[in-house]
Amino acid sequence: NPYAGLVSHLRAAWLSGKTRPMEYRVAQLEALGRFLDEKKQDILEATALDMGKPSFEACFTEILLCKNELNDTLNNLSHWMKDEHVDKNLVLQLDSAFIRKDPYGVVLIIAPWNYPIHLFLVPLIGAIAAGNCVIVKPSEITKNTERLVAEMLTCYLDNDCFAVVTAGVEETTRLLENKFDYIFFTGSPSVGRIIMTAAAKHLTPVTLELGGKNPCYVSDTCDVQNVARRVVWGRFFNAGQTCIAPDYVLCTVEMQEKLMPALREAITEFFGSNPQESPDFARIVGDKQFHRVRALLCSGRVAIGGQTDEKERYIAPTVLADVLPSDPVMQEEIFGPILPIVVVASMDEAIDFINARPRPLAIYAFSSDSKVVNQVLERTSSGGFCGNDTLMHVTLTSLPFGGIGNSGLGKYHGKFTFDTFTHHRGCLHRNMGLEALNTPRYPPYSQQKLGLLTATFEIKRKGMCTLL
Amino acid sequence: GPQAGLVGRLRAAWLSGKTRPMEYRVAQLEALGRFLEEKQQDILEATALDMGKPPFEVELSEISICRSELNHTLNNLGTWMKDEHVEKNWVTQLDSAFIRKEPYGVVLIIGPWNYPINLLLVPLIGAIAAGNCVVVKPSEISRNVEKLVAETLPGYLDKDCFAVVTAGVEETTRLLENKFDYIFFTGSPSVGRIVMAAAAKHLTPVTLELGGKNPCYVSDACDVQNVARRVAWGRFFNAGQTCVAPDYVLCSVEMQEKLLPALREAIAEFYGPNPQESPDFARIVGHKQFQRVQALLRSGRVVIGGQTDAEARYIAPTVLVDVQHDDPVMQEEIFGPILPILTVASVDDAIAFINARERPLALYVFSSCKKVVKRVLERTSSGGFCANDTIMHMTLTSLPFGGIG
Repeated sequence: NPYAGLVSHLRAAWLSGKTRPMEYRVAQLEALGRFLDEKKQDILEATALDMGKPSFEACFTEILLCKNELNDTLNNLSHWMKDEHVDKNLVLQLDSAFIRKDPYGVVLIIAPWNYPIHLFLVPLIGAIAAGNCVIVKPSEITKNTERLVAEMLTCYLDNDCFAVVTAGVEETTRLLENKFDYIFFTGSPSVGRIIMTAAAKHLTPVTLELGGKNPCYVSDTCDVQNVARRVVWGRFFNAGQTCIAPDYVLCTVEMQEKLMPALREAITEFFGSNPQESPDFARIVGDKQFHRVRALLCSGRVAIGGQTDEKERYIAPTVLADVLPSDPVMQEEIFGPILPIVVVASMDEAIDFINARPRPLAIYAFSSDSKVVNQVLERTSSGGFCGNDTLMHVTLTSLPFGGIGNSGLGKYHGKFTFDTFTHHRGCLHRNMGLEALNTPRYPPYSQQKLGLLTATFEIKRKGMCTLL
Repeated sequence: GPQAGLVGRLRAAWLSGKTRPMEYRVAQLEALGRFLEEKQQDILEATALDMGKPPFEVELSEISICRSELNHTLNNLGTWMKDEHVEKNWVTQLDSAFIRKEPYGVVLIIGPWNYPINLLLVPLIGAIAAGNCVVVKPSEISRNVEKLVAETLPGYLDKDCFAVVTAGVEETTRLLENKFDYIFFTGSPSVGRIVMAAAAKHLTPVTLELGGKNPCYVSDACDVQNVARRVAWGRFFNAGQTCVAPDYVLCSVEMQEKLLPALREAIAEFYGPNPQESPDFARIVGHKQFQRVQALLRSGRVVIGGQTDAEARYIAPTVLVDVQHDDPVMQEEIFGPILPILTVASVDDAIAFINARERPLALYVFSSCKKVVKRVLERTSSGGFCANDTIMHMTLTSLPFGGIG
């Protein structure tokens, strides 16, 4: 296997204990910070070449958000690493009981192309903070960023413990034949299945950050202009190539009529009269993806946008009306700058529509009536949820980010990343003496001994307690 | 598949929101409590029939432990269910940011045969508490308990949301073709792989509680008699059929010389001069397992025990010495009442020996010297860890229990 040598090299480094001291981890993390600072211009250029990412967007998602995660981790690492002492029962009162935070060992991070720095760096931060050795496999689709990461990242990190592997589909399959101690994958559900199947052979735990169609319910009671701006921002950021972008809107016919001009106005406000000329609108990452997204335009009726330019891989910010659930645009995650509006009669119908489909990574509900927002939250299931905005819930490092069902398993951001890559080891340190405490459990068994044990061991129900 | 209708029915019940209110979950959990109370005698009888489990052991490891988990859950459910409000940044100061605790949906729990009530019920308690619908599949190997669970448990729980399925290997494979929202499996690593591969098809998250060879390092600085008792207790409880039992001992030649008479004394103290006559020593669960464990006796040299009785599926509490790392007894998880002792020159040799092998579910160190305990803890990796005792770390509901690798 072409990667077996590399994996065992990293495993030997991990077994040596090199990554355990906090000072070591802090040094590696600070080096990552320098990578972000010193290579910022290169990152902006590479992502501009790869998909016409506006530098503002790249600064925000690839640099700023990553630095947030880095600083949050550095600020809290010593606290997160500490043994957590836990409640003891009567029998163990004189003992030491705690949760030790151990690394898993050798971790594999496979990243996608849409936020090609962020989506490997943020997991990497947590993996390093937790004391693991890591192999990073950036996406081969964003070729410029892949090259940047392969050539430059390793200069900042300890090459005994961290490596970057460039690989297409074939080589990634071979890479996955190796035994890893944790695999963190961001990508499509279909590849997620392949990753988990490969992981199953080695009983390797996984986090899968996948995708789906994120519904966006807009109730009749809302500030239409604000809704339009927030939805347009979430949908057309990065030309729609965002796993948590609002994928389609559900609203009444009346709301659609109000929303349409508001959307038109927001798009013009953001991107001007000809978005192709705006420096603030990205492009589709590759020809294959461009053709896939363009084909979705044959759904419903183009109400706004619809223009495309194959040479530039440009698809205009587009809104589709009269979309039917059976249309092409409703059969797959759009992952492009197209916003279909599907008309429903009521909130209940919207909820039923959502629940009849695979559980998405995000659900959005816009309403001035908090009861409506709560109803949607309570009666649906999704990775995450945001009322009255899009995307923003993932910018809080204190909220766990991850999917459920088809949209993934596992979660990260902030401390959740550290916890993802940490094995929480239950530890008990007892006294070598004080044997009298143990005699009731030894044979020969007796009713007396049993009574004593249940009296001291068993957790009792507290007085018939107040229900919520 | 044959169970598709059942799974569909449970999913519909879950989508109806029936399991969401706290009152509903509390009612189901209290019903589980009544099951434990009212069926106590039946549980004692079934486990005695299945593997000669002494009633004391059943009371402790199957009934009392479940009751503790149940009460702990009922005592805290209100708090656990609440939204957790989190820190906000500057931009979101005026907003509400919280973690909502939601059920996965339809959960499958597959139980093993060695603690057939405990290892089914404890996960079930959590699954119900979290608001899920559950399909429970007890082990077909502990046949009497399987029958008890299949016939009586459904009577206590809401049949719309909870079901018991009896299945052998074939039917379990078919059951796993259905889409579940979470699968909780306790059993062997080889079957764990099969379960995870099946789960991967549906992207179903899993918890796999598996096994391994749990090493037990005994340093030269210790109270030998106490060590012998605690190790013998952990090894021979349930006739060794415990996933967190100490599987083998590592110690110096000098310590082995002290440990052997101490172990002999502890075993006699516990089970008398002829353990086969003791009411406090279990039996091997089945003929196939008996033969597997018996074959492991051909390793090293029997210094204590070694007697077997195929008809009774009895294997005496046994200690082996002069065991080599490539002996049969060191090639698989023993899961029986045999304790091999391997000698090592030092704690570092013990650590190297442990690290050259698969990561175990539990790791034990006996030493009066804190530094030794610390060294082993820091330089090894295992599901859980206990110094100066065996198994006891599992009894604290505040410690996470699970494996690694």
